[in-house]
Amino acid sequence: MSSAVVPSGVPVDVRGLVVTFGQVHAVEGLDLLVPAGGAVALVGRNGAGKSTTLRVLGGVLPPTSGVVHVGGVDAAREPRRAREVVGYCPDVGGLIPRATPWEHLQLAARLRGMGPEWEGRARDLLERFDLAGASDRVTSGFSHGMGRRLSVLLAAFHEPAVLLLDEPFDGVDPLGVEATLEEIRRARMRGAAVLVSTHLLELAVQACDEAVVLRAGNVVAASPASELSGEAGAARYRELLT
Amino acid sequence: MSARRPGQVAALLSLRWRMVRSRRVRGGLAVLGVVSLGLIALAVVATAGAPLGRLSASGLSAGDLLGSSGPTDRTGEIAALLPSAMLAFGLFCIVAPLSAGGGLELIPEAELVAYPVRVPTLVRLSLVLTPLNIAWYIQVLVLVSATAYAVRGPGGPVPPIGVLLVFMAACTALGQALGWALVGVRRSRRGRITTWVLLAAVLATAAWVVVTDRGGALLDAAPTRTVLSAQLRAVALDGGGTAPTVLVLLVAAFVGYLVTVRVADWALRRPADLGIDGPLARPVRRRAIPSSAARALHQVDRASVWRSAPLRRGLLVLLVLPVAAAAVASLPWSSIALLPPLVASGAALLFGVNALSLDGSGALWISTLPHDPVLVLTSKARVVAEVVGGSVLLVLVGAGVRANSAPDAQDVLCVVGASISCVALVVATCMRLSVTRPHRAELRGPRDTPAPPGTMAIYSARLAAVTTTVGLVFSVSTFTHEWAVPVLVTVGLLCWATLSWLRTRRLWGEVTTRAHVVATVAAG
Repeated sequence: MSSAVVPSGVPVDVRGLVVTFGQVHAVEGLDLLVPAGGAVALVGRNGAGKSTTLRVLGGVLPPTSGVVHVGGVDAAREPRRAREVVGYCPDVGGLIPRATPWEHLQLAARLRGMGPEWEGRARDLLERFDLAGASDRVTSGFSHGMGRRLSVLLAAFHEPAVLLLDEPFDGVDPLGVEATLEEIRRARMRGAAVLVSTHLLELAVQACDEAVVLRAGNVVAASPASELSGEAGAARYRELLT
Repeated sequence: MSARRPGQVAALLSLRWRMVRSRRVRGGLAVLGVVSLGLIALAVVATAGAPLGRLSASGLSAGDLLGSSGPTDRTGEIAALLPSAMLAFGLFCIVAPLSAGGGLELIPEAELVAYPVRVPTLVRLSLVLTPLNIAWYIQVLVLVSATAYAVRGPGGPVPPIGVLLVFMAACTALGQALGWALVGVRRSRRGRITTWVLLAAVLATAAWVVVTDRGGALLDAAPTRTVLSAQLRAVALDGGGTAPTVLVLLVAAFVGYLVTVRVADWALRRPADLGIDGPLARPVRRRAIPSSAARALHQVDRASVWRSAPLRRGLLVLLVLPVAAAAVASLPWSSIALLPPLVASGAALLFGVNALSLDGSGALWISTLPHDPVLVLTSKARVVAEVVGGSVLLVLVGAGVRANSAPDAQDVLCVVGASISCVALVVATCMRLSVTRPHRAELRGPRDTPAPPGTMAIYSARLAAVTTTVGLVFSVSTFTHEWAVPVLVTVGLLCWATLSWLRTRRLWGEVTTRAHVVATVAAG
């Protein structure tokens, strides 16, 4: 089925995505495009299908049907190649509890086949996310915010063509939020497509130029992110959710 | 008038039962319960009516049955061993909660943090769950059977078994008090140092006992001889002679429970200076980047095992107890062939039965890295094999050094065959269970286990059944003079383990299976 669809060339190209868990339809026919250098916010209520969509794009979940291309690669047919171009920050945890940030970075560098320059990039990211002092402590001792920062760092580590961030601002302090916003800006500047799932509308507006509102696994609205800004935007958003 | 509300213990047990979604697991638990009780009843009936048998060459001991004119046949010989067996049970009741951070946990502490669960509830639940520890159950089965066989008289088997059960209740309650005390003490740095010093002292004393051959004399002077004395009086229907010991044991059980509640309350209120898992706050040594993806995964997996406090403690207990017991007992090689199965299944239960949970929520992140998924499974299998194989090797060395004779070629073949077969079978079973029955497990706190208590009981029974059968086959093979027997059995079992591993690999290769496992172990 997927071979009949020609990829559009944009880094994130999702058409008719359906994901079901038994009787539960988590995503029903979702279409989504994120161009190179673009950033799209996925917003919606709990259970709307945001995290499930990101998991499919990240290669964690197979789609039930539909076409998913990331970085020009069919994620269902070539999941391993798709993972090479994607950086994914899961919505919860996403860290090996008894490994240190440095060991996470070593593992990522080795599994991604990165060259010796990985070490400099790792040190720079650890500094920017204020984790250099904790880089040799096991992550199970981390606060929630530290864990989130490290997850974003790991997603951005290999400078992926597609950056997927699921609730990257959840429980993160203002400096951590600033570091994450800066990383999104850098990713866009080098031409990566960024997809951010969040409940924090104002931060979504700051980070992205387009917002897609999901409800019950379907897209109910797609508009410039700025239209969801301020009180008027929030009121419109609430209408879309109900 | 309002209806009486169920207590916390009943409510939590009911919740736990409802949380078991799988019909197979529910059925397995029901069967396990019926079979466990049935086995004890059957053992009592069978052994109470068994022929008396003749006295072996070693004769009686334990003060020749406490200086009385006890039976001089095989029953007397077994009865004379009962105090030592009861002492071993008592020691187990101390060590098991020490290694389990107080006792078994029905529902992980982190999941109950929002509810006002009282400390007595936790203690009662832990006591209720004690029979799910297969080592505890097997000792109960052996002691009850031995009592029914050896302590005979006009009263029949029920009175001496009654005395034994009161003794067991007292040991179990007092053991939990010590376990909780250790949890409290270890919440400070000074406490942790103190426990290590105490452990070193205990090990040094045990080594001194072994080296100076004082084990036999110590066992002969075991305080549990009083319990045997009460059993002999009970079977003779001497109520007046039995009552003082039973009364003391009943008081010990009750006081043990009360003390456990107090100590657990103290331990849980005590602030931890470095968190429950001390090393969490300390930086670890940075290593060079591994040369391949497989090595990188293996390095992280190995660290995940050794940095987990419950796993380290469990391994320590698993190694110290069998080595000490084997060293004291000075076993024949036919018995040493039974040790690998025992140790292999014990080591597997520490984390191997749910090895993929080592990655925790990091499993989600790892699955987004570009790699061959088989590498992840192979790395976990390698770590399980290291832990299981290493434990078996250390116990064999300990037992072999103190064996009662030099081994012949047949002994060596059988012990090596038993070890290799058990490690291979246990690793294959562990990986199968890890892929087909994943669970979320933190393996961080002192009471964390790789799966819920009921599931662990089923796993224990399953592993014990397989490995004990294998051990018995090799043990019997030591008496044959056919070298081909252990070799052929080993080859057959290795083929079985290999086929199981290949099936598991194929299953893991399916993307939907992997997604299910990852979603389960990473659930937060």
